[in-house]
Amino acid sequence: MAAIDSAQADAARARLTEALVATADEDHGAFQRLYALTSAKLFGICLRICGERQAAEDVLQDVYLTIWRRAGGYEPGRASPISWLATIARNRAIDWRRAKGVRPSADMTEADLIPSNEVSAIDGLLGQEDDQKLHLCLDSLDDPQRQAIRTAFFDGLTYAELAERQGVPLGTMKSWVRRGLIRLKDCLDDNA
Amino acid sequence: MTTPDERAAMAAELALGVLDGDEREEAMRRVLADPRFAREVEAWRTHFALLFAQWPDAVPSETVGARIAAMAAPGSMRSGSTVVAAPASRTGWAWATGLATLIAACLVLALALRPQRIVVEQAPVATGAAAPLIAAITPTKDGGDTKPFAASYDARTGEIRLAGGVDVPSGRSAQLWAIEAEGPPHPLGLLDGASSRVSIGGRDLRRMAPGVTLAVSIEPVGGSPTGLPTGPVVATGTLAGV
Repeated sequence: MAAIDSAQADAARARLTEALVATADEDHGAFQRLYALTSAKLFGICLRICGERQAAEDVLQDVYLTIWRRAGGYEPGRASPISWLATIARNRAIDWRRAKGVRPSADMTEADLIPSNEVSAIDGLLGQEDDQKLHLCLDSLDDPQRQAIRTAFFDGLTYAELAERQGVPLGTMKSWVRRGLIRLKDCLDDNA
Repeated sequence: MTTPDERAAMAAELALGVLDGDEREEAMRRVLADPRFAREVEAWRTHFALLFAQWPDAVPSETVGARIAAMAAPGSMRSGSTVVAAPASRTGWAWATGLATLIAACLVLALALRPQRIVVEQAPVATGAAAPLIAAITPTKDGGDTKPFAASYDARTGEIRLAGGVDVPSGRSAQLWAIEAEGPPHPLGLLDGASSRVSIGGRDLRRMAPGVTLAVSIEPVGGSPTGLPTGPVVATGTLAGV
C-alpha cells in the first residue's frame, strides 16, 4: 500500500504531534505549522461535505478555531493527531450542512477517492495506523452494506439521508447498515 | 437490555454519524453513562479514521489561511475585540443547535431576570472567546425529580453558572463534566447544592465551545476517582451561542 516508509511516517507524525501539543500551549508558530501540515486534508473534507468553496472556507476557519481552542483536549497516545483533526473537520462540516438544510451533494464515486497507493505523507500516517484491516473487512461486506457505510462516512449522511438517496425505506437502510457494522466488527475482531 | 451486537452496532453508528434526533441523544447519553461503550465508540472512530486517507486534498485560498493565522495572532483571542470572522460561519453555529438553542434561549431569559444576570455589555464578537454560551440542562432517565435548568458560561470570568441543581444522595457528590464530540468526558468541578457556580481555568477554558455537552453525574464524595464518570449521569445539556 502506502509508498511511505515507516521512518518518514514516524517523522511526520512526530512533527504533527509536536505542533498540536505546542498549539495547546498557545504557541502561534506551532499553530501555523499545524495549518501548513493539515490544511489541504482538512479543506478537502470541508469542501466535499459543504459542496461549495465559500462555505467550505468559512467552515475551515471554524475548524481551526476549534482546534486552537481545544488542542488542550488532545491526548497524545489516545488518538492519532491526524484522525483527531480530521474528525473535527468532518463533524464541523456536517454540522454546517445540516444547520443550513443544504442537501448533501451527489455520491462521491470511487473515482473521486485517492487510491491507497498514492497517499501523501499525512495520509501515510493514517494508512499505517490500522494496516489495511478496515479495507479488507469492508471488502468482505455485501455491496449495499459496504456502499451505505462508505457513503455515510464520506458524505456525512444520516440514516434518513441515506435511505432517501438510495430510495429505500428507512427501516431497510437501518438494517442493512446495522448488519454491515456487526459483520464489520466480527471481521475486525477476527483479524485483531 | 441490549445484546452485545446491538451495543456494538450503536457504538459504530454513533462513530459513523448516521444517527440523528432521539437515537443520537440516546447514544450520547450512553457514552456518558457507560465507559465501556465510550471506549467502543472511540475504537470505531479509530477504525473509520483510516478512510480519511482516501479523502481528496484541496487547497484553501491564501485569504482564508491569512484569516486563520490572524485569528490566533497574539491578543486577538484574549480580548475578543479584534477578531474578524466570517459572518456566515457564525450564522451556521446559531442554527446548528436548532431546538436546543430555542429552549436554552427561553431559559436564559428566565435566568436574566434573576439577580445573577448574564452580562452582555458589549456585543458578542463573531467567533471570539468572549461570546457567552448557554445550555438547557435536562434530566436523564436517571435524573429522578430533577427539573430542567439553565447553565451559562462567561468566557471572560471563566465561570459556569447553574440556575438549578440535582438531587444528591447523602455521602455523594455531584460532578460537572464537559464532553466534546471528539473525546472522553472531562471533569470541570463539583456542584454544591442549587444555584451553583463552577470556576474553570487553564485549558478547560478552551473546552467551552458551542456543541460541547455539559453533564452532571453522581460520584463518590470529592468526585470521580477515575477521571471519568463512575456514577449515573443525571442531567445533560449542549452549549450553544446566545
